[in-house]
Amino acid sequence: MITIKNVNKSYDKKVKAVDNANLEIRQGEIFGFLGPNGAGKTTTIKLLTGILIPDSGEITINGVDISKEPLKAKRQFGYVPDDPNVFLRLKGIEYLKFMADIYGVEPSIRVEQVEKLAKALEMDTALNDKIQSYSHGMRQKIVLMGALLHNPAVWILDEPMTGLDPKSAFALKEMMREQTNSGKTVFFSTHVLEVAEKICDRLAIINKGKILFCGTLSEMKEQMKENSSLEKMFLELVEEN
Amino acid sequence: MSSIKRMLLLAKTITRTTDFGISFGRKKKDLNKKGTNIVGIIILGLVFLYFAGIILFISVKFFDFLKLFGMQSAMLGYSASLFSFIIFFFGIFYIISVFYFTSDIEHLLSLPFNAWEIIGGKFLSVIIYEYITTSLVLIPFFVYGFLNGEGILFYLYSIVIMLLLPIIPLALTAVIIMPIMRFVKFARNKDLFNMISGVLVMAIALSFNFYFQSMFTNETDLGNVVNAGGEKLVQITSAIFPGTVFAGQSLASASNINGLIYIVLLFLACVIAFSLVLLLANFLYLKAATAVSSSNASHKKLNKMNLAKNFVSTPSFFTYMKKDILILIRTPIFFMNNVLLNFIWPIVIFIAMYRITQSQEQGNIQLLIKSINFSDFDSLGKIFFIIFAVSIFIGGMNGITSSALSREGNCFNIMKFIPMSYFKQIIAKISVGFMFSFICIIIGLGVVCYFTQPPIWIIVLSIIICIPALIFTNLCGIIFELFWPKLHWDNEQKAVKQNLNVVLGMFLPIGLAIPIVIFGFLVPMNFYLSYFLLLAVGCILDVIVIVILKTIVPMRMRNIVY
Repeated sequence: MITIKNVNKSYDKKVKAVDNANLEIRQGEIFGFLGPNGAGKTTTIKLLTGILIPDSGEITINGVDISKEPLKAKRQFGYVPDDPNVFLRLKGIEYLKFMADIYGVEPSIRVEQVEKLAKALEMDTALNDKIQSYSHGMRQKIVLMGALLHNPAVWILDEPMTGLDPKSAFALKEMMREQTNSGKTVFFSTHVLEVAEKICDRLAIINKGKILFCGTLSEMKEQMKENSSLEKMFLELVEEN
Repeated sequence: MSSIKRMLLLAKTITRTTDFGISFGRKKKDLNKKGTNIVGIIILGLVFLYFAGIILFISVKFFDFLKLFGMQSAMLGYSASLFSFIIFFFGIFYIISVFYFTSDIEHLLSLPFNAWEIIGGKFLSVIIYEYITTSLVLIPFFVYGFLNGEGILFYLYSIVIMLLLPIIPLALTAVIIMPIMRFVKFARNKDLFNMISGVLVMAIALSFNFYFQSMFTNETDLGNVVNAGGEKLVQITSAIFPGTVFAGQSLASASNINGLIYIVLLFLACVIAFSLVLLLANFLYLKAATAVSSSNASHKKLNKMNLAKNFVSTPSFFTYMKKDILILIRTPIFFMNNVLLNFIWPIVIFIAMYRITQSQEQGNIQLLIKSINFSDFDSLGKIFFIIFAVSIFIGGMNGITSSALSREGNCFNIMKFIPMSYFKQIIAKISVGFMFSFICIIIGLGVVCYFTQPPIWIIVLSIIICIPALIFTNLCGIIFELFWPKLHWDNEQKAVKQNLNVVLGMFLPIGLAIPIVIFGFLVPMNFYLSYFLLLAVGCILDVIVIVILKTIVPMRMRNIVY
């Protein structure tokens, strides 16, 4: 579970990247976070993950306040950033070992976890090569594997579908559904409204730092004039704002 | 548009967009950075003038020496041969970089160019940049022309030769490189090439330094050796680069028709060489150029046993250190600027000490080394001050800790979301810097001990006294990074070479080391007081800086944003 209470964040005290945000992402749900470019999606995610410190407000992950107990909170989630170009000089297997040691993954389950993730994302033959030799999609996959290796209770994914081929995107969606069925939480941002429409239990729309809507798709349809598709509702909300 | 015109257009475009490592002169997008361009150009100009001055001095001396034997015209051939050889050597790196390791090849292949037009354009662009080096050949030519009273034709021929001289050596380089790049797989690995070429250049520079220093004791010896070496060089380069003979002969015969004939012959030789390059390019270039990569993938599936071997649990601190070490070693720029330096210093010390012990002129220093009395405890105390100061200096020289955060670049955010305390991560980074500095000190001490033969207990005490000094410099290095990290870069050079923290990390130790040595020599102290004072001061300073770091690290890390 993730709670964001009255969180504010501005850069240089001029531009408010996140403006009094309030969100509650419940256990066992896939939560989509939508918004146009520069809306504040990545900033919100960086606040959730401890990369940025809010100017005010409180963020908790599974009840742990990230500003008061940062290490404990960081163990609760697995994070996939929007830029997968990380540690390019390491081999895939070295990156995964790094993440396994940092997150304290049990030695007895490491091999099994890696094999399972590698098979699902078709990365079996790439692990012994340097990340520098990977395509963009493969880099996305290795970062995803690193984030999920410790079987986190919360997944925080920033535009995870970018660069993934249809098979891997499908596999990821299946994994997300599997996770939430076992009571875990998935929070992800995306530009692809069709994906959000298909798999999200609830979603939020942010624009210019403000949360414009938070709820289910049906709730959104009741509120909007144009409710034939998420795309039309999204555009209506964003343009109104 | 004819093929020649297309080739010239390509040469012009490539010359304007490739910087060959000289980026100062280029226009930057940020108008505020104009000041930097002018400063960069001035620095480059001063370096050029410095080398020009050295060549001018040697040319004048060499002319005077050869004139004693009536052989001054030999200077022309020697100069042409030497520059041909230099162009050939540096051409290896230029040719490989421009032909194969620039990112424009895939774009060029989608345009309507033949392979030989691309190679021709790239070849011409390399020649244009080689003119920066070849222009210096005019100096010995003009010195000869002035001192020998040559006419205007001589100077005109010199300029023509300067323009034609790089073609044959570069053509030979290209003819050698193209089959290698086509058929030898690992040669196409950019990272491996950058690492090997960096090591090779340093090895050659050190070897030249060692060779020339051990050869020359006075001017006459210098003249004799250069003359003998020059003759041999002409013989070798005439065989390898036929055109160099024509160059020397043309200038020597500038006053008659033979001068013109030799210029024409040189021109024809260049045309043949260039045509050979274009012909070979048609068969060998494209396939190799498109197969270049920074990292070759093996696509090897790891079996369960290999996976298990790779996943043995390691404490997060050492895993973090290992990650930093692997990236340092595998990134060519970091390897050459931060890691290799630790092994260069001991070699430099070896060369210096070898020269001292072998040279007759260094008799006083030899006596000094031999006279070190390891039983004289008062003098011994002073030596430990020197060792302590040198350790402080060495600790900052490799720039590993003072670029520890900058080298993260876009990976910096990983430091912020992983469940490892900021302080622990910083200490891991400092440990990596310390480790490499310590290796450098141990090898350096080994070299010094080889020449001075101290007793074992002195060696052990020396190692112990180095440790707090190395720790101190590395701790200070990270403080600069915590306040002014350079995280935004598109080229690894900017993280380590164009980073003020690295400069501060080098100069602060120098600023500390000098007063320490002065104090040790001026203040009379017995050995025990000297040694334990140094040890205590070193340890206390380390503890103070660690306490400071424990306070500032969490605060600074929270505020640093990528």
